[in-house]
Formats: sequence, structure tokens, C-alpha cells
Amino acid sequence: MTNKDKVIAVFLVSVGLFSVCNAMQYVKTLSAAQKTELSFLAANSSQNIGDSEPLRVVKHG
Amino acid sequence: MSRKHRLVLGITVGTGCNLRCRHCLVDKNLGSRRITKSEIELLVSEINRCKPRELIFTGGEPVLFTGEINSILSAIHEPYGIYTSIVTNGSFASTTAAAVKTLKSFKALHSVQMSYDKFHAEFVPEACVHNLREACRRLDLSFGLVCAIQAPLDLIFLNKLNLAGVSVTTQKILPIGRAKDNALNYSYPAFEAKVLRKKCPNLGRLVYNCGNGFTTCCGFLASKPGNSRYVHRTIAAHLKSRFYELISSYTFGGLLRLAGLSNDGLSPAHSAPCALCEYIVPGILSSQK
Repeated sequence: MTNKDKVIAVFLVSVGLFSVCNAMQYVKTLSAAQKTELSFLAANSSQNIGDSEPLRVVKHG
Repeated sequence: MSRKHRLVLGITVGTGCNLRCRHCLVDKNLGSRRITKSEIELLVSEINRCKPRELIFTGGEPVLFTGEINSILSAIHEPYGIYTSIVTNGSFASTTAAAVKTLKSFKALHSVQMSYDKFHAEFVPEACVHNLREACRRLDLSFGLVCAIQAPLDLIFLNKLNLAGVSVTTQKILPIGRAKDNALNYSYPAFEAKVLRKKCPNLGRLVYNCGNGFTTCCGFLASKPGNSRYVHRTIAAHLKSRFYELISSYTFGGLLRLAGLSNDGLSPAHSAPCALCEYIVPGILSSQK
């Protein structure tokens, strides 16, 4: 696992999208371009992103 | 009761929407249901009694129900003492001026959450996000985005939006309503055991679904036909229900043991609390008739 992979995995866990195991598995499925996009997102947005589980009182549609 | 302990009440004022997003949790069979006058009276009486700290108006598209929302806000005793939010698709924000005009039509409003993701983007231009954000800035309202996702990669569109400083709330799509019809769901690579240590994440929040009633569940169980175990006419009736007692007393692991189920039957999809609750709770309630 590269440092970039670890940064993405930590990001996914920190915003509540996956547990550590699932984050690591998920990162392995990504292409290099996808990893670049997600690491950019992690670097620029992690402080502003939070998960709302399961459904906040939110509409879809 | 202190402010922080008062509940958050979501209100589905209607199910009608001007969009037809593929991932929408609203069942297409609900059509354009709209909150009635008698429901508004009941709701106002419950709000005045329970004094929630926050009201979140949703739908459907709440902007289509401004009249009903204002009827509620006008009738509650201290509308400006309650934090008021809407969750909107923001399609009305074709210009900043149009957005300002629409937002000013609400009698009280503190926060706007815009649902915007790859699904909404099929209908709503990106400019609406920026127009609505600017309108909120001019009116001194809080602004945030809610992004429904099937996978974390669905968030990378945020890289293009240039929304520094805007809070983004992610929502993992559950197979309910049109999302179910379209086989859309957030997928977990493997079952996440940490969910077993959690309680229902909706505790402290209630939803009033028009034509239905009050419930903690805004997921699978509340949307089932014959949902009288999960949805109730008053807040007090819901808080006294066996359903609420179960979800507020036990973690999901505790509920699993109470149901006499083992972890062996759990799939990756049960990592979502709503899916796990649907798997466990109906069986417990049926066995306790």
C-alpha cells in the first residue's frame, strides 16, 4: 500500500464512509486516476465533509 | 428541558417534486401527497407541546409547499426561537435574485441544505449551487450540500465545484423508493462489525411524514405498508411504543441477541444501520405480540 493509498483510506474512514478494513479493500479497486481524484478531494475537503447515517431528514429528488 | 436535549423534528410536507431522480427514496406510488389542514393543526399542537430545537422541512421538494410550511411556522408559538432548515433540490436558483426571492418567501429560515450529487446534476445545472450559495450569503443563512452516493468515488465531482468552506453531508443510498426500483445502493466490500456496537443513529430525531405520522425511522420500516408499529399519530405515542423502546435501549448487537439471531446471516449490506434494523426488529416485534 502506497502513502497515497493510506491517505485515501484514512480520509474514507475519517468521513465515515467505511471502516478501516473496507477502506483498504476499496482503495485496492481504484485506478491510478481515481486515486488521484480522491486524494485531491481528501487534501482539500476532508474538514468539510461528514457522513449522515443512515438518512438524515433529507430528501433525495 | 435544555435546548441540546430537545429533539430535531423533520417534516415531510409533501411528496411532490419537480425532479425525478433515479436515487430518490420517495416511492413513486406516493404520487403528490400534500400535508392536510388537519395534519398541520396536529403538527402545530405537537410542536408547541414538545418544543423541538430544530425543524427541518423536506419532501418531495419543500419549495413547492411554501404555503404549508408558512402555515406551520405562523401557528407555532415562537417560530423564531426554533432553528428552521429546508432541504431542497435548489432548482429554483436559476439566478441569485430568483433564489433570494424564493428564500425570502419563508416566514422563518436559518439554514438551507441543497441536495446535489451526480443524480441531481442530471436535472439541476451546477450554476444553481453557486446561485443558492450566494443567495444564502446575502440573506445570512447557513448553506450546505447533501450528497447521495453509491460509492466514495461519487464525491469527486466536488473537486470541480470549487466550494471551499461549504459543509458537505454524505448520504449512503439505501434501496428504498425509486433507488430500489433502479437497483441503486451504497455498497460495502464486507460487513462492518462496528455497526453492532451502535444504536439507531436517528435517536433524538423524529420525522413527521405527511399522510402517515411521527416516527424515528425514516428508512425501510416506516415506508412499509401496515407500518403502525413504527409510525404513530403523536410524538408521545411514538416515544412510548415498543419499537422506540427497543431501538433506544439496545445496540444493534443487543437487538440481534434479543432476536436470537447469529452474526452468520449478516451480509455486507447489513453494515447500514437501516438495513440491519429491518433485518432484526420486525422479528422481535412479531414474536412479542
